[in-house]
Amino acid sequence: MFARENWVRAVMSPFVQTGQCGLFMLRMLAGLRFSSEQLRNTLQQVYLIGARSLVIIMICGFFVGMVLALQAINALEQFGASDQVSLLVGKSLFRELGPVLTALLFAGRAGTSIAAEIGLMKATSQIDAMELMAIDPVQRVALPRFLAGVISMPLLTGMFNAMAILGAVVFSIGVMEMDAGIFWSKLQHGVYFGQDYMGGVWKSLVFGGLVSLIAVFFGSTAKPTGSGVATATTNTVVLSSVLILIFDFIMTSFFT
Amino acid sequence: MDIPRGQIVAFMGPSGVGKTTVLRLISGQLQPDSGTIEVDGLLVSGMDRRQLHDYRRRIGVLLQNGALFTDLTVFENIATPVREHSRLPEPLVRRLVLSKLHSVGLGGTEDLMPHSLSGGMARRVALARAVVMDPAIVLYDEPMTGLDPIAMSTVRRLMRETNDTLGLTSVVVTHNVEQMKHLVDYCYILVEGRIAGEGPPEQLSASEDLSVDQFMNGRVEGPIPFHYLPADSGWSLLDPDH
Repeated sequence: MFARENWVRAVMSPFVQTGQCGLFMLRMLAGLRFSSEQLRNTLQQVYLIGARSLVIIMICGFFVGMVLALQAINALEQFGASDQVSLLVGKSLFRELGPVLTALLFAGRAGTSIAAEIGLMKATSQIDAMELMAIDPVQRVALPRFLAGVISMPLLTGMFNAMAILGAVVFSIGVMEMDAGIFWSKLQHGVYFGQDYMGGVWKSLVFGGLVSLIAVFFGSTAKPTGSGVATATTNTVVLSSVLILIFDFIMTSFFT
Repeated sequence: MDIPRGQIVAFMGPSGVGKTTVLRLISGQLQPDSGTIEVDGLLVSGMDRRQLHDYRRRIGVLLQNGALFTDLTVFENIATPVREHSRLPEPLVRRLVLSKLHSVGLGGTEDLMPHSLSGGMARRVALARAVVMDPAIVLYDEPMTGLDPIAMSTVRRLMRETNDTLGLTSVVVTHNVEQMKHLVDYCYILVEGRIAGEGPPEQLSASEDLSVDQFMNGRVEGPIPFHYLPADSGWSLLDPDH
């Protein structure tokens, strides 16, 4: 009897959590006021979770661009089409790799930080203190972090893409001594702003919302203990990563 | 239980007896299974979210560890409730915060972060934050825990001065008998989920109730048991799975 109840609970748990997460998001968005206080908190979080993720995003972007160029040149050389490398790198970056890899890095760098911070605030009674001061922690703590995630992700993706193109330039032109004019003209004429670049921007907006929603939700519902915070942090990374890839497929199918 | 306006009333008792639960009931964080909580004519038990929000603007709470916001400076910590609940211009907010900080003897610490404060200083900042909105009632949860004797006396004096100067009503939850003897006007002693005794501290120290006497005078032997399970529970070290 108990085993059956546990089994039912295990099956229902993801649906229940999805519902709770949805309600949590509605409660957050209901508090959107565009007040100067909210704007200030959000900008502060954009700095903390966005600007402070820049270094890791830029380093990773540069090396992803280099390795993409390397693999593309190796593969295209077999068909005598290695001059198309910028086209391949540009399209794959702007459409897929830029937004997805930035989101995965953001989940690891900023998502964990948000979940752990809110979880620790619970463990140290800071959330209790807020409630007792008649301050809604969902509006004061969760909403600015959620908005900062949505704002930061497209900007970080743009920076990742720029650094990846730089990496591809360094490898293709600097190391493989390709013609710079061909590299840039293929990129300029083969990659479209609306179709390729903006497709990635829309994706990054969704990923930003997804990762920061999961992070603030798990942080806010974490048990106020050391292991509770650890579980919230782990769940944030795991679930964010899986959902980024699932949503990427759904959105790619939709846009295509 | 009745808590008269303007007094400092303590709820004391051994750990785990439900002292903090009483505080959570008064602040509306918990709802009672039975009975009612009434504060200044308002029925706290049964308030909806909006009513609780309005009610909590009239109370100040000092939690056990101070619960300062660790990512904000001392100034920002105290200014948070003011900015949230008033439309005061920034120069006035600054003046108000600094005057509260000065009243707890911490003028000049406004730019420090909470991690650079000692335990006693953090508790005083938390006290300044609790009273910055001029509440009618202040609730203290174990305000002396973890403080050195000087810090304890300082916090105790500040609690008394704040209560009398601002005309507040203070409710203190603690198990620090010695400090409370010098601070509170009236005590409730909770033992095993019931009120074992009540009255002024000096009167309770001489109580004939065995539980009250054991607690107030820190005796090992008495009706408040040392073991978690009662002697007749059947649990034995020789056969713990019994």
